[in-house]
Amino acid sequence: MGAVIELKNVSYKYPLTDTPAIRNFNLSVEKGSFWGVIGPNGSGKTTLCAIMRGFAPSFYKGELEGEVLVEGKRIDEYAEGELSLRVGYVFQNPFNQISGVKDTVFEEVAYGLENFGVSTDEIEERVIRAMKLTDIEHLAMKKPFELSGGQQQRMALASCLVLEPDILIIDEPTSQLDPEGTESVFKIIEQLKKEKRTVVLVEHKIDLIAEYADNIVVMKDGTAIRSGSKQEILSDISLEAEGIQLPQYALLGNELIKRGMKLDYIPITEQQAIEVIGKAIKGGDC
Amino acid sequence: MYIEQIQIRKDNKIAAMDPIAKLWVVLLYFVTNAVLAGISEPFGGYSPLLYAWFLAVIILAAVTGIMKKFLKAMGVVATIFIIVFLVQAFIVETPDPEIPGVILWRWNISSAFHPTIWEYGLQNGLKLGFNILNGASIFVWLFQCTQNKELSRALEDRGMNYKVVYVFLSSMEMIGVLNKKSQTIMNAQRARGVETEGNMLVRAKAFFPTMVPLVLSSITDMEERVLTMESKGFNAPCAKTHLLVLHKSGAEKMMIAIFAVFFVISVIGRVLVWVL
Amino acid sequence: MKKTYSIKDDFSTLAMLFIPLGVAINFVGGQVASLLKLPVYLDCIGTVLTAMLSGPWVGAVTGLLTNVVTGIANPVNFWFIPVNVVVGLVVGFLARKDMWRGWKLIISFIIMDLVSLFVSTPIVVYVYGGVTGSGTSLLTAVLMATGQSIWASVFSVEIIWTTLDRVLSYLVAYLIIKVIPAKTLVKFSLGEFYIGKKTAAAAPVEEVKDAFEEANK
Repeated sequence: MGAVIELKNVSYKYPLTDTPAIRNFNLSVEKGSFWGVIGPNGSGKTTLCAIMRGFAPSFYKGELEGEVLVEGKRIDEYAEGELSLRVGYVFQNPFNQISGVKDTVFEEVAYGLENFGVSTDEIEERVIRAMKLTDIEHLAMKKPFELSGGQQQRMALASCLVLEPDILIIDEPTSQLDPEGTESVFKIIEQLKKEKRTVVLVEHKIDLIAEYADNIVVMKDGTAIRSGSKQEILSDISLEAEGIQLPQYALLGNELIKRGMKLDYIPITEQQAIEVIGKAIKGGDC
Repeated sequence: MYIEQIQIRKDNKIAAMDPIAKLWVVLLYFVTNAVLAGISEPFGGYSPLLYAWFLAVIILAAVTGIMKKFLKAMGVVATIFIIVFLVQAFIVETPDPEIPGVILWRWNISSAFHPTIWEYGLQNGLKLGFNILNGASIFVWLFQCTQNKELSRALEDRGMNYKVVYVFLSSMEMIGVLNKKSQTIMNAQRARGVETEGNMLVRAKAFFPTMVPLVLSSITDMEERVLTMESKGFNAPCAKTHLLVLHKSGAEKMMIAIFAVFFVISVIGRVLVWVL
Repeated sequence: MKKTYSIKDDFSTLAMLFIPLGVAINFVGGQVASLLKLPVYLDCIGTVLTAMLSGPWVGAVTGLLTNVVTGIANPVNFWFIPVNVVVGLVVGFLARKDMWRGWKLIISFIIMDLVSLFVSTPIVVYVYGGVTGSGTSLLTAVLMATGQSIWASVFSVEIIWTTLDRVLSYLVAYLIIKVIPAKTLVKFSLGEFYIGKKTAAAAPVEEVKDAFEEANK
């Protein structure tokens, strides 16, 4: 079917290191699927994202083995700037995603379109759409540096979405935000999910991943130790031994089963928990 | 809707002039200045035309409607003018040790202390002072009535590479950003016991724990920003669109003509002085 | 390892972002110095750093832009553009020949110091008549008042303070480069010269790390 990103036996070493940061990695991301990437710090999640977008090895230098294909084409076959139109990328730090040369949020979001030579009318239209999607239209005339962290991150998302990429790679977008900022960003991620966009999201907030992802890849020491549907992975208590924390409802479900309750399946979201535990209670199996 | 709002609108026709035309005015002003500085023979070594030429900027600032901003920005320049002038007038006696200095005025307080104003020093002081004053003031005028993004857009239109423009605009932004960050770091270091008062050695030592973390964290930020810029098509080799539209205000031809005329008259004057 | 340098390589996207940072460092260096009431300008740190890591042209542009941008607020700085540019060029060309490590450092330093003196002194004399209004230039005024020639006065004052300024600037640049992790250094055109005994995962000095964690809160 439509695999938009494929990693075939990929290994990557940062310059001046002996151990590869990523080893024998295989992944196939289908169009419209939402992948969550989880794992302890240092497991290679950010490196994986960088490889998918081609930042490694072109920017980070180092050695790459294996094949990385985006929409069927090898990354090194893309022309300068072309990849940005296919693959959007959002970083952790909202501050570093500001160009620094525009006085208003509107112009900042429009900057990428200016660089790609899009016509003025089309720019206005697309920017307004992106601002509406990320709920920052009311900030359009403000100075980018005067926004809060959460607002800046939404602006970064808008700057990304305005280029209308087919794929989005989002690397821990909320790790530097307060709870309010985090919530606002996740509202947008929910929207992206509804629009059936192809997304690869790296996150530590496991409950949020459980809510939106379709598939999960669990990373440790540079390899994927698990990869598959979120239901099967996030309910698996054995992952705790690998340093992964399960969603709270999965922990609850596992604990209840351990203590004798019979559940049809282990829940990983609030909705599922209410459903399956409620059913077990009603069914009298306590 | 928004594109409308981000345009630059000015009431004053001269302030609204095309930035390139303004650059021409600056250039013409400069060369006229250089010529006028040389006209000193008929005036016994003084260059009153040079001093008068400063008024041209004052008048320019007035008609551009930026007098207040202009005067405020001139503060530092004025101070330097005064210092240079005073040093020359009171200290520099003669251009050549062979020729004795001409005293214009002496205040005999005591045999050891007698402040003297020397003729050569006075003339040189006025000349140097006004050169600095004039040169600086025309730039003050330029930057007080032109926004950075206007100027860079105009240059880009005339062929300047958009990357150069980026570097220029970004430099100005970074100064503010880094300045703020340095305050935070300095305060944080003070709280951890780094001394910022005391003798020079102590103060000098405080410099490093402020600068090093500042630069280091900024370099890390910069790495990520390279990727962001790349993602925003910074390196895309196509023609760029510009949301900002520049207009001519209509005052361009007149202003350039006025200064060109001054330049021509000053050249004629200089030649006449030389010939006669 | 002989390497040919192209201007295009020197001016990578990284350099395009490094120059504004260099300009800001030059400015802030001066600010912090005056806040700490130190009698030196310290407005060349950024130029030295960019030149050492990205070569002479990047360093020169950093120097040029610094004086252009600060000149907007204080047009007097325009006259000193050549000084900052020359520092960038000299430090950069010497950096290409790996002259900033080991004992060669001393020679490079002397060259940089002398060249910047030879450029700044005439500017101070011809444009300002010897006294620019800075704290140290008042010393020059005093010397001139005692009958010394302008050139001698300016030169003797400049040689002390400029040298001090450059020593401090170089030290800061050196410390910074020392603390930059190797995997970052490789991204700069001349970064490889400074990697030496580092490993890719070199950790920054503890205080430095804490300090910028504070700053990022």
